Amino acid sequence: MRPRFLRTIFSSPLRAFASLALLALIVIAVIGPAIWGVEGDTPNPTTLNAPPGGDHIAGTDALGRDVLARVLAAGQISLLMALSATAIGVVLGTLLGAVPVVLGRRSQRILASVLSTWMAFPVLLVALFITILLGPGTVTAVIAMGLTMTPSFGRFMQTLAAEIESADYVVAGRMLGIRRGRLFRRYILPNISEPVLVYVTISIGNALLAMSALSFLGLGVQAPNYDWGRMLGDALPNVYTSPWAALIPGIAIVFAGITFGLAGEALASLSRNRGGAARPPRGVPTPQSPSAMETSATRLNQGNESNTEAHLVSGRSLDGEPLLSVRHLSVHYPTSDGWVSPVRDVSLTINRGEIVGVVGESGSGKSVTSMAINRLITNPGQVQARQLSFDGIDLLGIKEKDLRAKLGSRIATIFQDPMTYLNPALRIGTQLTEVLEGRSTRAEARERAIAGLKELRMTKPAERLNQFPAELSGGMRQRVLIAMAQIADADLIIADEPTTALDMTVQHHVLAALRKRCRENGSSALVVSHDIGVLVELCTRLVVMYAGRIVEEISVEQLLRQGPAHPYTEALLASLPTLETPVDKPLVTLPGQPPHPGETFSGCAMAPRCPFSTDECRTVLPQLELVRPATKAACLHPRNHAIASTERQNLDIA
Amino acid sequence: MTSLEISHASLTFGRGESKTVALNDISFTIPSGGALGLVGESGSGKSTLARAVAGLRPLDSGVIRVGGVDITDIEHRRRRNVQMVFQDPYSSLNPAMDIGHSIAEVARTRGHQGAAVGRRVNELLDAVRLPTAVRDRYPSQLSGGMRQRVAVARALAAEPEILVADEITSALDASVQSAVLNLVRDIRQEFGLTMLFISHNLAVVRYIAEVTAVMYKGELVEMGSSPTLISSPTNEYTKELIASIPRPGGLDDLDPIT
Repeated sequence: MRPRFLRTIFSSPLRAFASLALLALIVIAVIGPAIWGVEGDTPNPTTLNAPPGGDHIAGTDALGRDVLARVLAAGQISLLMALSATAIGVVLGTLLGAVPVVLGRRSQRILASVLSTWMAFPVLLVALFITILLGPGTVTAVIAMGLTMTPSFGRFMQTLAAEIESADYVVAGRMLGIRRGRLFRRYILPNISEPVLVYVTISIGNALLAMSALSFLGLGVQAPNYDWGRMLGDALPNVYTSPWAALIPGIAIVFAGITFGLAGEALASLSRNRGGAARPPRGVPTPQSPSAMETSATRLNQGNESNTEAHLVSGRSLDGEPLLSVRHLSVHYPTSDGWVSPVRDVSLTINRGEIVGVVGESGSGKSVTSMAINRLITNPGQVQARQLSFDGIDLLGIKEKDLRAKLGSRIATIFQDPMTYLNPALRIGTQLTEVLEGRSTRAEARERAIAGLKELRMTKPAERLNQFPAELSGGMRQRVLIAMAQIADADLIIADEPTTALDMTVQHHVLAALRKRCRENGSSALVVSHDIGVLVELCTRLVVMYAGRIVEEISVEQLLRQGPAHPYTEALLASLPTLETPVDKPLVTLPGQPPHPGETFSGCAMAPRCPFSTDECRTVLPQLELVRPATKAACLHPRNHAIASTERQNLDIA
Repeated sequence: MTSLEISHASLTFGRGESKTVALNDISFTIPSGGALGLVGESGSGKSTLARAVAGLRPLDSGVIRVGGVDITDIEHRRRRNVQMVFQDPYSSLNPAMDIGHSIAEVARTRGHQGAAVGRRVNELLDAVRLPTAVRDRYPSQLSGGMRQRVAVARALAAEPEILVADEITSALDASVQSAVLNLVRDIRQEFGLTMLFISHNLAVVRYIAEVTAVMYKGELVEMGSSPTLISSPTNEYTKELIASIPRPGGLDDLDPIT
């Protein structure tokens, strides 16, 4: 535990520096007065205002006291004052900001308005006012400072707690009858503690600066006691003749301020590294950063210059050659536990006019595969493949700008959330006609856009062009993306869960539109989905993925006639309830959990969950082989018998 | 066992132009030990109704009765006999508390004390088919399906008579969904629960509930025994919903140009 803790600290220079500086401050605060207190308090008339050097490394002050000793001795009171003030602020801030979320509506409103009123007062003014009112002094200054820090803490806590308050688990806790005190201690506090800790640490530094300012003005620590601010104030009259007496406490104040600031930063970087506690433990490291999506969006929208050239290339290609060819594709991501490979050795081809579905559960690598083909894997992800070519264009070694020039808008992308692709600031019409810029006049482009939307059963297509993406429903946005592909005359549409966020009836229309687009223009599509039913309806061929590998590749026709060959596909189909599933029997289940993307297997990844697995399955990695006409399966015991009637029923509907 | 009766429930969001009718005069009764499945698209009002039954959202008008007792104005934290399982198993458990404690704290609110709490936790984990070893785990260490089971166990710990399940399998993988559906069917029998089961998936609803109600834009457009409603729907929206269920050749009869 301890070496690991130390390693975490010293893995970044920021953290290492912050920890050492903090340690130094603490040591000085603890031992300072005991060691240097007497020396710092003893006036020496023989060495008034002595410059640094000799006995006094940092010189002496107007009464001949050693400046360095005084600075070291004053550390304790300076830090204690800052800590106490912050503590007052945190406690009051929590009471006003975080506690109300577990109280009733009325108390919530009252406390919130108290906080808002408090926020309206200027900070330093309040502090000055309070000290003048209560009379200057150490305790007064601390109280004043604490009270001025309260509203900002309160507001910060309020924001954090409000976020947690509406979380399902807090709502559930209330419904389950958890008492308010417990709800606050066990539900609210632990889940806001990380950001609060960071904020508090930084605030200690600020409090130290502000307290020094109060003492400097004579409102804080009173003689004969002294803190860094007081030393600064006392040294001011002689600052031109003996600047060291002011400079050294000044440096101490700055050093402490910076230390707490950096410690806060270091804490923040630690919690960022660990990530949110509520995040799912497994699942692929998500590479779909918005920036990656934007890159591809720019590519599609700007890359029309050489479209004619691209079409010439496609004219030259042989008819029998697949449009997309992927050989031995793997994707790797570094994690704290070494490399994980969400996609392992995937090979697939898509012919012209074909709609290929990739199905799998979360963590199967289906989305990462489509992203790798679409060149959306960003650093630190690594893509390896023996071949990745689109219509004879090698996509592997190609540079970003050549890619745009060569591909233009021939590959279109549809995401689960169309808002990641549409520019919220541009009208639909502008985005739809952008792909035609330079190829046709504006009026023509507009006409084509309207025709495209009309074909997809969009109501009031002409009006839609003047709307912004936010004004459209999810189904309409998704149809706008399909229309974009249509208008750009894309040869390949890559769609990742295109209808998952849509309602059933809308999904039906969007799928129909997608298939119509491919049938009529000879375009191809690669459609990724978790829903095998959707893919059976839409596609001509299915690719089933499990644990990063393709376990089955089967034509939909074969699937419907003969059933799947791989036990996993079979289980996937059988586990889905349909309108014919007998309601008096339990559903077919697949025991266990899908494997973690980082897991490695000596044999078949499915073996631990497979009812047909043998010892051989656990040691031999099955290869994807032709087991039946139009059916490839990676299984040592492919299913080849006449399928049971319940399963056939499932197939009929799936 | 007890019945759930909703009568003339209405709720409107917003005012003026942005006004939307979330629930428009909804009435139905689920008999003691029965299960009603609610289907509809997003925005149809099905989740709003679930939240109203759970007491999370007050109605504008209408009455909710449990076993004949009016609970409409009872705050959700006192409406202990109605419990709800949420859609997203990743957000419905406190990330800072281990599974054992999060079930135990609910058991304590029902009067269990000392060693009885531990026994009760084991009983409930057993009821949702989880090994007792998960007691020491935190939600982030469990898969979605396991978390959903824990959420069910917590709801059961409150000893409800009515269980509201709002899209509880839609965030789960297919192979996990079927196991959770089997579990829901089993606990319904074992605990004698009256159930309001909500899903956008008609096939899932049909499997769990003997009566299905279809909601569309805040209205209850059709209700009937699940097999009858599916085999001979009368409402236009219900017909469209059934026709939209993916099936081989399902896209052939739909020409997108009309």
